[in-house]
Amino acid sequence: MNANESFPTANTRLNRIKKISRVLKVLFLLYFVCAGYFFPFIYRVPEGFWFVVCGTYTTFSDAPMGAKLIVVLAVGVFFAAVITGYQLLNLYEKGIIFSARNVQLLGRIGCLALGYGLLAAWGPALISAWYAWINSSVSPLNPVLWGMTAFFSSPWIIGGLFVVVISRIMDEGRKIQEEQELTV
Amino acid sequence: MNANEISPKANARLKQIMAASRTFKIIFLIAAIVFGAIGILSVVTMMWMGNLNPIVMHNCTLNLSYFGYAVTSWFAYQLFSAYASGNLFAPTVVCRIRWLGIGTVLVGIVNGGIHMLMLVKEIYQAGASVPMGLAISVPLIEVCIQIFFNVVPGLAIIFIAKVMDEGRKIQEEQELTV
Repeated sequence: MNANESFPTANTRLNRIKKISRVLKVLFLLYFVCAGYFFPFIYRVPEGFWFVVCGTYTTFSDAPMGAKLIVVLAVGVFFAAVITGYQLLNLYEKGIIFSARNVQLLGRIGCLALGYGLLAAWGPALISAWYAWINSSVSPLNPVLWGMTAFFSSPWIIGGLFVVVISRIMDEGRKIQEEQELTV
Repeated sequence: MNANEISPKANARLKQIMAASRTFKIIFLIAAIVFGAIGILSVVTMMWMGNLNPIVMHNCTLNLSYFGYAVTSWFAYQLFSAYASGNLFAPTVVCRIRWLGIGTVLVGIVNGGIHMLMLVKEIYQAGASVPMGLAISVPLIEVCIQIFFNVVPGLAIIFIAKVMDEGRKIQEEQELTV
C-alpha cells in the first residue's frame, strides 16, 4: 500500500505547492525583467556612451569582438535561465514534484547561474588582459587576483553551485519516491 | 522491505552529496566569519572616524549590510552541516532551508532600506530645487526594484523548503512501509 496517496493532508500540501508555484511564476518573470534592467554586461551611461563589459564606447559596434561575444553569451545564458525556470515552475504547478525532468531543469538552472557568474567574474579581467596584450602594456586588472576575488564574492557562482547540490538532493528524493511507489 | 537502503547506488550518491556539502560547509563558515568581521570593522570605524569624515561614514553605513550576509552565510553553514552528516530530508534540514530563505528576504529588505535612507539623506542635504517627493521618486523606484530583486531569491528558497518538506514526508512514509 502506498501510504502517501491515502493521506488527506498530502493533497492539501500538494495544492499549496501548486498555488505557490503560480505566484512564483509571476514573480519570477518580474525578477528577470528587473535583472535585465540591472544587466551588468551592457548598459547606457548618463553621458550617452555605452558601457560594454569593462569599457565605455560611443556605440556598441566600437567595442572589441571579445566584449561583444561575452555580451552575447551572457544574454543567451540569461534567456536560457528564464525559459528553464519557467518550465520548472510549470511542472510544480501541475503537481509534478520529484520527476527526472524536475531534477534535470533544476540542475540546468544551477549550471546556467554558475555560467553567468563566471562570465561576470572573468569577463572584465579577460578583456583587460586582451587590451594589455595588444598594447604590450601591463593589465590594470590582475586577471588571477580579479578572477579569484570575483569568483568567491559572486552570488551567482555560489548560488548556482547551491542549486546544483539541491538538484542532486532532489534526485535522491525522486528515487525514494520511485522506490516507495514500487512497494506493495 | 526498504529498497532504498539495500541499493548499492544509493550509498555512492549519498557520499557524493555529503562530500560536496562538506566543501560548502567550510566555504560558508569562512564567508560568515569574514562578512561578520567586515561588519564589526565598519561599526568600529564609523564610531571612531564617522563624525570627522562623511565619506567614511557613507561607506561604513553601506558595509552594515555585511552583517546580513554573515547571518545568511551562517544559516547556509548550518544547512550544509546537516547535509554533510547525511540528513537530507530531516525536519531540521527543512527548518534550516526555510530560515535561510527568510534570512535572505530580510537581508534584501534591510539593505534596500539602508540604501533608501542614504538616498533621502543625500537628496535632503543637496537641497533639491524641485519638491522632495519628485526629487526622490525616480531613485526610490530604482531602490524598490533592487529590493524586489534581492527578495525573490529568498522566496524561491522558502519554496524549495516546502518541496523538501514533501520529500521528508515521502521518506517518512516510506520508512513506515513493511
